Amino acid sequence: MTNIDDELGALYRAARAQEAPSRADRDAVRRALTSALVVTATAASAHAAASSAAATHAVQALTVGKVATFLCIGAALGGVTSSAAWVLTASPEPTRSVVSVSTSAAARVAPRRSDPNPSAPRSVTQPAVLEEEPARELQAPISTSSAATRGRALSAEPAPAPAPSSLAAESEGLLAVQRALAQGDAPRALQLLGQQDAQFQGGALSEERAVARVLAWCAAGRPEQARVARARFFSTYPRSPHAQRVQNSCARE
Amino acid sequence: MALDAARAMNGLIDPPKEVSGFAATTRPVPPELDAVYAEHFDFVWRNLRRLGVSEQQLRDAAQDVFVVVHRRLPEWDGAESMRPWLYSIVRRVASDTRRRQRRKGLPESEDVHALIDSREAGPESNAARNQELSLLLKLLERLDPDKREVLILVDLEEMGVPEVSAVIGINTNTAYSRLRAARQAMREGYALFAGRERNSP
Repeated sequence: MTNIDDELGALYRAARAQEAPSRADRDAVRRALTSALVVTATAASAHAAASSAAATHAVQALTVGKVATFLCIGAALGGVTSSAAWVLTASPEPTRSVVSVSTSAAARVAPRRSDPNPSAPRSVTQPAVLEEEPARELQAPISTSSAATRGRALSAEPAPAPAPSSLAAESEGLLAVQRALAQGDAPRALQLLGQQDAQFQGGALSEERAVARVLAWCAAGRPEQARVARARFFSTYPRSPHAQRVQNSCARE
Repeated sequence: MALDAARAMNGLIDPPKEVSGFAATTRPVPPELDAVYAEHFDFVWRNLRRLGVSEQQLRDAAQDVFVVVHRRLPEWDGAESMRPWLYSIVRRVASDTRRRQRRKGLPESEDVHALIDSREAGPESNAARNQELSLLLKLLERLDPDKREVLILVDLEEMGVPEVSAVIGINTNTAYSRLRAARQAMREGYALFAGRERNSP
């Protein structure tokens, strides 16, 4: 009996050493998780745009912020190997500095309390446009690039933030889209998406932007454009894990 | 202010350094998802596998666990350590995953030996390196699920029996009883294996 117990103990110890996930496993799950959470937050933001409830905004803002934190720290740790965009090279202290960027992102996505009537949905006034170029056609275009937007948003921070990685920049861009949706500003969300597609061609979050575009057109009350975006999404990502989300949108057939 | 209160009530608050005004609340601030992921991913991974999730489904199941963690993290009250709380999520996800595996006709853990070896196909040393893990999984698979769970947590994760009984929702005496039975079954299974090994040419 004692011999068997000793041997079992040795087996447990040996097995434990073999149970650790590989780096590839860890990275793959992190990436899939990030993708799932970003899309969830985007869809929730689009839903919030429809309901425009201030409390919902607060919840979504924090959710988005936490996702951003997770996303950026993943990049800081060099956690994903399948795309060069996920590797952070800018900071000498990547983890700490990127946490700073991402937590400030969480703070920035808090609802605008100065909004006199946060529950009133913003009107969507853009003309009928082709889905391909929403940024150029929408009214009241913003004058800042996403990088400039970051700079402005970070200006209230006590210390200057380090330059974000391309993934961090891309995720911040997507967060800006989510903020716009949460604030009921679908035209701005679409405009940002157009800019980011140009800026991050082939980026790690292209698929998530494609989902966001469908949802943004829905939030804008433009189901016909949403269906165009939906068709493009499925032709580009036929096996997307976000397919259900798109199918459940206003663009469903 | 009302918004802040609503956030605090929902547990949707950031760490104290970010919102120091809430630092004095009695409820511990939940950790960030990235911290939980970094510290506990291995724990989640190995226990999903021990609970019968196939190699093919491990990544999806691990993702499912952390999606739930992300959603429920604000609910974590800090009264217990993180691992028992996490394990309660792991066991539910493992159960759902096994059910899906059965529905889809995917192999469950009885085929795990072959799967592990095939996943690491290549140098001969890989197969040898996974031999102990493969044997452990096979022995665990022989156990009744209730007993297996107690043995995993006590003998492999080194949790205390009272803690385990709280996680699983059984009384402590039942946990001890299951542990004794599980250990005995492991001995018997291992003796069978060792006997075969000795008798093989």
